[in-house]
Amino acid sequence: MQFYLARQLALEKQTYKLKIMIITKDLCKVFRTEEVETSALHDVNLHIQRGEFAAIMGPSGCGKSTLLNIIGLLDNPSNGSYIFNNTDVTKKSEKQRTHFRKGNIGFIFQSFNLIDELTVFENVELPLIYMGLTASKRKAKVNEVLDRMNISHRAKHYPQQLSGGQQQRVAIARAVVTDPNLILADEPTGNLDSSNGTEVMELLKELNHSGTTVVMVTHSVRDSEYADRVIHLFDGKVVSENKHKQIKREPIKEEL
Amino acid sequence: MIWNNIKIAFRNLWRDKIFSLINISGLAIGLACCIIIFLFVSNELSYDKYHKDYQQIYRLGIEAKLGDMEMKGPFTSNPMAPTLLSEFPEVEEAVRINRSSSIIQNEDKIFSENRIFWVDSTFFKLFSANFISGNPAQALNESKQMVITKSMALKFFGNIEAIGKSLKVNQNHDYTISAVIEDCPPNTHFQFDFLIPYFDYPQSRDNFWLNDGKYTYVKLKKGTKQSDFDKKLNTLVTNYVAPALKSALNINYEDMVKAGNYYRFYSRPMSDIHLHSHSTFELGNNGDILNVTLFTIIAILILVIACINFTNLSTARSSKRAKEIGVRKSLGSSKTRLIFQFLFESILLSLIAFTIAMIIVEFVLPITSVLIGKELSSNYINNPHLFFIFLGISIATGLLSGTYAAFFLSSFKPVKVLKGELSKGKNNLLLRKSLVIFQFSISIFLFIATFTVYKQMQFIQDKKLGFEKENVLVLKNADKISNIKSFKERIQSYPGIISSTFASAIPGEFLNGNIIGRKADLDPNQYSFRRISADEDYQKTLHLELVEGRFFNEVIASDSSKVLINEAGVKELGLTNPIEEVIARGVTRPLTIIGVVKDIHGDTFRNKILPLIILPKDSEYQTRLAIRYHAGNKNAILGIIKKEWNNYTTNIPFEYYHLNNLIHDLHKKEYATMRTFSAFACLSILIAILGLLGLSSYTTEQRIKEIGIRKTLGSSVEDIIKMMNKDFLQWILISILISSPLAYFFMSKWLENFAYRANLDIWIFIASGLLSILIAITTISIQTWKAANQNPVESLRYE
Ligand SMILES: Nc1ncnc2c1ncn2[C@@H]1O[C@H](COP(=O)(O)OP(=O)(O)OP(=O)(O)O)[C@@H](O)[C@H]1O
Ligand SMILES: [Mg+2]
Repeated sequence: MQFYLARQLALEKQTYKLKIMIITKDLCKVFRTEEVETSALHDVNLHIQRGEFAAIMGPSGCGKSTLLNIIGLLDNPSNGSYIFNNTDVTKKSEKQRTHFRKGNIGFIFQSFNLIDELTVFENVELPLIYMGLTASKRKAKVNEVLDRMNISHRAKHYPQQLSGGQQQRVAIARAVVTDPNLILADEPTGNLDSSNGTEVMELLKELNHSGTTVVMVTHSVRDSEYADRVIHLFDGKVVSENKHKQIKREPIKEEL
Repeated sequence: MIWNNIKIAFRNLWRDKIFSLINISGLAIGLACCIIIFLFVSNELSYDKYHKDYQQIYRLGIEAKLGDMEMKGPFTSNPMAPTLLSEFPEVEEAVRINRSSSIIQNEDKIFSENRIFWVDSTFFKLFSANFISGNPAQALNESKQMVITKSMALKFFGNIEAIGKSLKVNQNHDYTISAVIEDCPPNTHFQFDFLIPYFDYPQSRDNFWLNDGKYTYVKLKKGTKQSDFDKKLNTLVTNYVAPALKSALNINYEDMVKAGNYYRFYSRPMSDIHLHSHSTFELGNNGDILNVTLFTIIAILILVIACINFTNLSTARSSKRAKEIGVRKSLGSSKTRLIFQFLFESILLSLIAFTIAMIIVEFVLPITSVLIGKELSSNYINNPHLFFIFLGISIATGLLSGTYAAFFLSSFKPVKVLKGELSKGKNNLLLRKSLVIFQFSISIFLFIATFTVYKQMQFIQDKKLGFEKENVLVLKNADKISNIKSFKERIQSYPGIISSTFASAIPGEFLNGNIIGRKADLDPNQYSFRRISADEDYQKTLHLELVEGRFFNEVIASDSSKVLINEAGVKELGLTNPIEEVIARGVTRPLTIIGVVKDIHGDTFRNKILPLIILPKDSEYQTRLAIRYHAGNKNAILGIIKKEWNNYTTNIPFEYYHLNNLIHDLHKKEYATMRTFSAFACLSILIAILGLLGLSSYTTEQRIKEIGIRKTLGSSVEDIIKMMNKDFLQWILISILISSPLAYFFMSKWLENFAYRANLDIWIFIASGLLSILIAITTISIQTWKAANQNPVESLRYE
């Protein structure tokens, strides 16, 4: 009996582990400038499951973007540990982090962050180039995703020639073109009007339904309702986690 | 207000120490180079302009082609000046000058001097001189008068009270000092120590128009046009030269011209002589307009590079301050005030650079004086305009680069309102691109130029001279040795001495002696040969190489009618089998060729080796004794020779030189120019590298956000560095394409100045291209490395 229970527990732990994509433990981030020391994150403990749609909310300056950047391996935590896809990535070098990011994580920013000198097509193509795909494969993939985002008629345009909503769709196209396991969005609707915002949220929902994990920072309660769970941050600490609904996703994505 | 500006400016400079250092040092080095070059150029351009009415003074010369022989030079004949004075009303004065070297003696002070000139009595009406004592109008009126310079007075009399005293010339003529004048200033083509009346010159009354070894200077009446004068000058050819040709050489001038020959007189403004006249018969060591142009161009290039750098670096730094500017603007700082602050800062920078440049110049001038081989002085007190010119240049540099940076910066919008402004503008990119290409083109050009110059220097150094210049001592005044044969035997009995030769000239001194040689079969053509006469030890002592035949032999009595010629001479005469050919020298007896020597480089490499004829001993006046000794104790050998000299001569100065020094001096000026050029070229490349550093940091700054985005999307550090290099590499390739043909053109032009020159081979271009690519990649990669390695968030935050 005892043995059975132990085995069951271990099994459960293992499957849980498999189901979890992001684990942070006592995560801290301190910014030091010449004059001041800002503690942006303080002992953040988070578990995010594969296939989950999580929203992070909180007042300005509470550390949302900082957290998202660390989750996205764009930055290192000052303290604590971070396990991504069952790998401890806390102490990885920038080079190794680049390797993890490549093709696995898509980013969507409030300010789009498209490269002005490149066309829509080239912007979306960029991550595929870094993954080392051949030109013909890239072309097919980019066209497909531009179609999906309803922006293929703008492929030859430059970012400045597009509306904000269109630019964000390009940014999303660029984020998903590699079929990432995880999409990180930092206020994706922040610079958009409500109809464009809704469109973006619908896109994210769709992606999530097809199995992609989404972590999104937002100020909007309406946007947060798309999420399975809302994590509230305050002053660098997690203050509450509300589950909106049961996570019920069937096709969990393959591991890398 | 101003004080506040200064405070802020200094704080900003201090905050960005590295930037300030690079920027200030780049501009300071650039300005220092410019100042030095400017001093050099203005010195070169100042030659002979101190003479009163120098614009009216000309030197006459002959330009002629007779068969294969072409010549141009300032040699005119005796009757020229008097004829001009009597027939040409526009000629105000005409002065003849003839060079002499003699032994000058005052009691126990005996020296051989070579800056002695026979001049017409009106000399001082053309040439300005400062008289310490004596009267310019009467100083050269009477026979055996002598004008000497201050330093000669001090040398021979110990003080400047020399008037009325006398000096012995060549041991038998007493000349009375009629005037003492200040030494000739350094910036004249004609330096002299002694002047004596022209009519004391033994052949001064020779009226033959073809005896053209003298210099004639004329002063034309105000308003006379040079071209008119030249035209009129050439009436003398038909009136006087043609009859002389007919009577002396039986040449019909008309036929001669019809055969494609010519004989013309020309005039050259005196102030042009130093830079434009390069005859082998110059009175002094002339400069070269090509160098002046070259250095002026370099100075301009350096200045331009330094200015571009300054601008680029200022802009690069300013984009770092973009945020500060945004805030300042949103807080209501007006655009003009911002611009003012920026201008203020960059002018302050340029003034600091200027001050440092002045200090550098003071320290470096003595070194450059050695390098260039002439004394340069900054002397701002005498030349206040110099100071202000450079001050102006630096302020202008500051103003120019400041303006660009200021407008560039103040156009930053605090909030990116309009989408169109997200792109920094295609104009800006184009400007940046052209600046880089421009800078790179200059640098690559200078690389190629430096390599070419270096190769030519190497070429000169490695070139076989045709004789062995080491371990040879040459005695002057050897004609004064009482019994030369016994003297030679005496010194050769010492073990350290190998051999010696008594001759009229040594390689390196083959200056005078154009003769007209003629083939014995009465070939109507005339050939110009240099000539020396030498005893039978000449070849052995100087290690001349024999191509065929033999050298003179003491025991063969008939050798007194035999000659040797060099390879150039064989070619000139068109001989296939020169040995035993008979040639004639002028109208004298025929001479048989017994040998051919390899060409001897006894001149700068600019000039082609001329045909040379080696005449048997005593056919010419011989004054040189060259002595070859075993390498080793030079001083002991000198001591021996000096001792013997005193046994064989009385009251003759013991004067000697080492042959290698003579040859070195021959190329000294060449080396000096080349070394100076290379030094400046390297400096400007250094400045350009500083600029590249600035520019790539500027570009990195500008693209830092893009770098962040790309890294977020999975780009590796290497990808980023490659990307940043790619643009620059493209630009370098364009620069190589632009500068290579230009460099090819200019450097082959430069090389054309040398009759003997290195090849401009492809490696010079490849090496220059590769070197610049290497430098660029290193510089850019160092710059980009930091940006590419930092966390992408940090780049993304950059706004
Ligand atoms: N590079 C940095 N250097 C210094 N301090 C920083 C840095 N990045 C963030 N901070 C500080 O860390 C804290 C958290 O910043 P963060 O950007 O994560 O806030 P946020 O929750 O995203 O705010 P917002 O909703 O306004 O985007 C802030 O106090 C901020 O000032
Ligand atoms: Mg944020």
